[in-house]
Amino acid sequence: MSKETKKIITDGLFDKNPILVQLLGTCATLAVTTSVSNGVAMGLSTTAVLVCSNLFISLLRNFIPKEVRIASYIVVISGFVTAVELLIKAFLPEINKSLGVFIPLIVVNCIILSRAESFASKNKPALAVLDGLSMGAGFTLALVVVSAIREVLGSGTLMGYKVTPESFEPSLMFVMSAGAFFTLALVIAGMNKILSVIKKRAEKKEVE
Amino acid sequence: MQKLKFLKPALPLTVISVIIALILAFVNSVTAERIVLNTIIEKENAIKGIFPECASFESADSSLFDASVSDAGWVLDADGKIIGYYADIAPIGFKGEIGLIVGTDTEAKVVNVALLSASETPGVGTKATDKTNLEKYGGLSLGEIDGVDTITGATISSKAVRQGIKSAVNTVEVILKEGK
Amino acid sequence: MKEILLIAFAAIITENFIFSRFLGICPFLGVSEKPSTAAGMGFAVMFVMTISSALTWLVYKFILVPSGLEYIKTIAFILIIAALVQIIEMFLKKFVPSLYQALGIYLPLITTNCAVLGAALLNIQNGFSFVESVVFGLSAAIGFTVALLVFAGVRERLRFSNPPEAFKGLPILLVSAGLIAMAFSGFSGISL
Repeated sequence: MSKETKKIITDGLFDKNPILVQLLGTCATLAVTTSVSNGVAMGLSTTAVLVCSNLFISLLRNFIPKEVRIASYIVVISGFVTAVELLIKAFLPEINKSLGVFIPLIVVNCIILSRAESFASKNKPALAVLDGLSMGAGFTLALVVVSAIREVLGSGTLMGYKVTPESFEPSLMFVMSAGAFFTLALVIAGMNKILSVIKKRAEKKEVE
Repeated sequence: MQKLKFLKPALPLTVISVIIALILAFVNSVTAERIVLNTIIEKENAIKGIFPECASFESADSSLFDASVSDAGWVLDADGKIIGYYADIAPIGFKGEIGLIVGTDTEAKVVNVALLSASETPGVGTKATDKTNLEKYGGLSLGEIDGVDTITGATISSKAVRQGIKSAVNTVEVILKEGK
Repeated sequence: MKEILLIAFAAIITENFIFSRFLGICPFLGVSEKPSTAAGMGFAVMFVMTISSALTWLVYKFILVPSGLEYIKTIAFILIIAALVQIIEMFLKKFVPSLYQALGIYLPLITTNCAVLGAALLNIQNGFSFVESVVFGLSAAIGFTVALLVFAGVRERLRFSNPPEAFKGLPILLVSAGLIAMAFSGFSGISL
C-alpha cells in the first residue's frame, strides 16, 4: 500500500477524524447517538453520501468552474442525500423512524462539504472514494463510541441487549440532551489526550 | 459578450443539476411504490394487532373525519361482519407527529391504541406512548377519555395523545351514526 | 391563537433548537465568543429562518406537491436557503459593513446551519400552516439566539478558568453547554 493511500486511511480514522479532531458534524453526533444502532445507521448513511458525492465531484473536478463550485457541491450532495433518504424510506423504514429529520440533514453535515472542497475537488476519483470511505469510517467509529457510552449508561443496553446488571440503575440523563454534550466532551477530551501523548512520544524520539 | 460571460459558469452547473435530477427521478421510480406500501403494511399490522380476527378494513367517507384524523372506518372479519372501528390519527406531540391507530368496538368504546411512529424524547416523552399508558384508554367511551391523567414530565406528549384519541373516537361515533 | 403561542413557546423554551434538538450546534460553538457577535449572528439567523420558513413552505405547497415532486424538497429547500444567505450577504456588505466584517466566514455558513434547513423540514413534517410555519421559524431562531447569548455570557467567564489540558477548547465548551441543556430540560415538564 502506497504511503499516500495509507495516510488517507489513517487521516480519516484517526489523525483527522471528522468529529473528534476536525470537530465537524457535531449536530448529527449529539442528536442520533442515543443508541448504537442509531449511531451505526447514521454513520453508514453519511458514509454512503460522502463516497458518492466525493466520487461524483472528483470525476467532475475539471468541469466545475470555480465560481459555482459551492453551489455545485450543494446540488450534488443534496441529490445523493435525497437518493439515500428515499432508499432508506423504502427498504429500511425502521431506520427512517429512528433517524427522522436527521437523514435529510446529512446535507448540511459540514464533513461532506468540507471533504468535497478540500479533497475531492483536487484528487483522482479512486483516492476520493478512499477518502470518503475513511472519513466516513472515522465518523461512524466516533458515533459508535459516543452512542455506546450513552446507551450503556443511559438505558443499560447495547444494540438493544441488556448488558448491565440488575443493580445498575441507568442514568436517563445520558440519553437526553445534557448527556449528549457531556459524553461528546469526554470522548473529544479523551481523543485530545491520546493525540498529545502520541505527539510527546514522537517529540521525545526526535530528541534521542 | 458580457451576457455570455455570466452564463459560462452557469452551464456546467445546469448540466450537473440535470444529471442529479435524472439520478433522483430514477431512484424515486424505484422506491416510491415501496414507500407507500410500507405505510399501508404498517397500518394493517397495527389494526390486526388490536383486532386479531381482522381480515380486512374499509375506509369510511372522509368528509366525516375529524380534522386530525387521516383515515377511519370499519374493521371487518373474514365474513365481512363489522367487528369494530379504527381511526388513524397523528396528533402533534413534543417533537412532531405521533402516529396512532385507535381501535374501538361497535359501541365506540376504545379497545386499544397502537403506536405507529413517534419521535418523542426517549425515556421522557416516549412514556406517553408506552404500552401500559396507552392501555389506560381501554374500555373508555368518548366522554371518559378526558379523565385519563397526563403523565408527569411528558405533559405535552401525553396531552397530544389524549386529544388525538378523543378526536379518533369522536370520528368513530360520527361514522357509527351514519351507518354503513 | 393558543396553538401559535404554544408553537412559539415550545420552539424557544421547552424544545430549544440548540439544547433540545441539537440543530445549529456548529455556529453555536463557533460564534458565541462575544455577546456582540452572538447577537449579530442571532439576528442574521432570525432573518434567514423566518423568510426561509415562509419561502420553503410556499414552494412546497404550490410547486412541489402539485407536481408530485415532494421528494425533491431537501434539494429545493437548501438551494432556496443558499440563495437567501447570498442575498443577505450582499445586503449586509453594502448597508451594514461592520456586522458583515464581524460575522466574517460565519455568514455564508448560515447556509449549512442545520437549524435553518431543520426548521424548514420540520414545518413540513409537523404539517404546519403558513402562519404556523413562519411563527415556528421565527421562534426557533429566537430560541437559537437566546441560547447563543446565554452561552456567550458563560464563555466570557470560561476565559478565566483553567480546565485540564485535554479539556481545553471544545470539550469544556461542550460540558458547559451540557449544564445549560440540563437547566433547559427542566422546562419540559411545564403544563400548558
